[in-house]
Amino acid sequence: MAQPRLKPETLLCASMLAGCSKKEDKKQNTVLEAYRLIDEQRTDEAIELLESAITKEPSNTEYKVVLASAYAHKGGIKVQKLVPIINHSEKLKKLGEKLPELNKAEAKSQRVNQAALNLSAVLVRFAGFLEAYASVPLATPNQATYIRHAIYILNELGNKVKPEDALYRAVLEIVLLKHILAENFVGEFLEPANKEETTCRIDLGNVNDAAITLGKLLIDILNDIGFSNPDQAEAMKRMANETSETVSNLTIFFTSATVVDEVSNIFVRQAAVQHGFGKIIKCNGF
Amino acid sequence: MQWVLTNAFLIFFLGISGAQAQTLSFSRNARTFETQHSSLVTKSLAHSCLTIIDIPDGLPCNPSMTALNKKPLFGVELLLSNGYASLESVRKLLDGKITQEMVDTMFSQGKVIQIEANADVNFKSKYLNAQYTPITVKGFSVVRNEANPDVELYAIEEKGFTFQSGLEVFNDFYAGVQARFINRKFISQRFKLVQLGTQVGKDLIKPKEQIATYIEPGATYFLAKTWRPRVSVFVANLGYVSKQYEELKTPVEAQYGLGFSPPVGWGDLDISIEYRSMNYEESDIEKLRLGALYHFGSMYLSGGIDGNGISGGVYYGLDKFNAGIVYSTTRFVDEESFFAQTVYVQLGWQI
Repeated sequence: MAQPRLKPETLLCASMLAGCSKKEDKKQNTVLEAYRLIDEQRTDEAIELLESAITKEPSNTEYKVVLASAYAHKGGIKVQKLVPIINHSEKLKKLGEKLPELNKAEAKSQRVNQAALNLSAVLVRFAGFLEAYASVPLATPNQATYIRHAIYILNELGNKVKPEDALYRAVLEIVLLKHILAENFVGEFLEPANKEETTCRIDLGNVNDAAITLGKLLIDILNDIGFSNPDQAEAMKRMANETSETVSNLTIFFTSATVVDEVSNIFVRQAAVQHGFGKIIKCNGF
Repeated sequence: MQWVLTNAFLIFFLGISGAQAQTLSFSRNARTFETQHSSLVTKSLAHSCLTIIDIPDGLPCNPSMTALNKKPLFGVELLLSNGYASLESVRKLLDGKITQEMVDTMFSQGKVIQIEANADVNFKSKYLNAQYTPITVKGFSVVRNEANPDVELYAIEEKGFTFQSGLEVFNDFYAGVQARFINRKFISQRFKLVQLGTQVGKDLIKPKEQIATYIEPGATYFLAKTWRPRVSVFVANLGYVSKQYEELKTPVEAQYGLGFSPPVGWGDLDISIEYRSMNYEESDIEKLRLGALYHFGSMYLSGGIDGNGISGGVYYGLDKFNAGIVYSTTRFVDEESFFAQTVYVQLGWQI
């Protein structure tokens, strides 16, 4: 049971005990004050308080971490949502599972084929995240803006970041990743350009941008998890490198190709559908 | 002669210890976090009990009162506070069995979790008091900043024996000694919830163990005046601990009490003003406490106040059975406007 507004020392002072007519001075603690404001849903006041404190004491990393949490709070991050993410971190091991292979014989172009394989690999990796963090709430575009800002503040800490702050940043990045996957990554399939095409086309430019954004985010998450858990650092580094290579190859292809052949198109689209990436545009009955 | 002895004895005890520095900046619950095991009536007195002659549901706080026991007594007391739903989680925590379900229960359900439960077997007589405590569990956690929770967790489980003996040294001057043998497991940590997901953080809430043996002397001098004014002194935590921990302080502390019993129309009234610590982190002003116990027939009404809260309750001793209920508040340190409320209930059997 907890209730606000009681000052026992007032009662005590009113009692017969001597020497307590003056209220004991308490040092104003900015962090505690900010915590209280956040818990009372007065997050804007907390942000104002912390930004003011940072102006006076720019080197105080604790203020910055709390400020990041205040922005995260505006982004909908609360304890009930954090606990499952933290407790399911072991599920990240699924990300290391073998990636699916494409039947190369069906592909018309080896280069196109490889690009499709890379793209599907990235999709599978992201799907692993979605499965591991199914309980992670979906952030609205407005909330995602605040979460991005919270991540930005934590990034500014540079090498002063502590393991727990890195893990907190990873949590925010996971929420952001889920938002981007749900809101942006899909929807890249366009209507057939002409009657000869039987399936929808991939908008290469959009896919490229999204793949790069998500790839970078995924690498940041893996690095942060590795930093906060040194026993997983090697595995996370390997996965980060693999993701980096995959996204890089994908980007090289996207910048040189104008169209993806039909087989690869189907493969990528099926991968997207199979792994549940949000806004698939239906076309031609698909 | 008596005054000389009294003064010498006060000077001796006064020289033993001073106030401990206040080191925690986050929160501290001086009324729930006390490492001193206490009965329901003692809690309702805000632990201002050194000069109280008769604690009906347990041993006297000051062993020098042993010689004032009126009749032999044997009893069993069971105490439970609100928040008992978390009792199992706290015990698992203290056993080092940390599971996701337990973490969810402990830290994501609300800002404050508190629980206290204990069982005592008491024996009181004119020269010897004894208490066996098979188990006492206390748990308290405060979660701040729901966006990146900062947790303060305190949990302790103790088992042990207490023996008291005392006598009247000369007219109205009583002295006694208390021996406590305690085996305790505890966790006292402040951490961010996300730290539990880091490699280092996994060790944060591992329980620590300590065995303690204390030999604690006490004395009371009654002045031969109306209202029975009396002064008491008690030296807490004089003894040995198997291992010192920074987060669980039990320093030697001299504690003082001034008591009197103003006459009332019906029943008896005892009032005590004391200077004593509960968790040895309080400031001087927080160590001041006031308690009053009114006894009429089978009923005890009690109340207490200190710098961190108020408490009050009622206790009935009906033939062999007794029962009581106490309400207590605790202000959070550095939080002027927030406090925890605790309700304790106790059932007992005495012969």
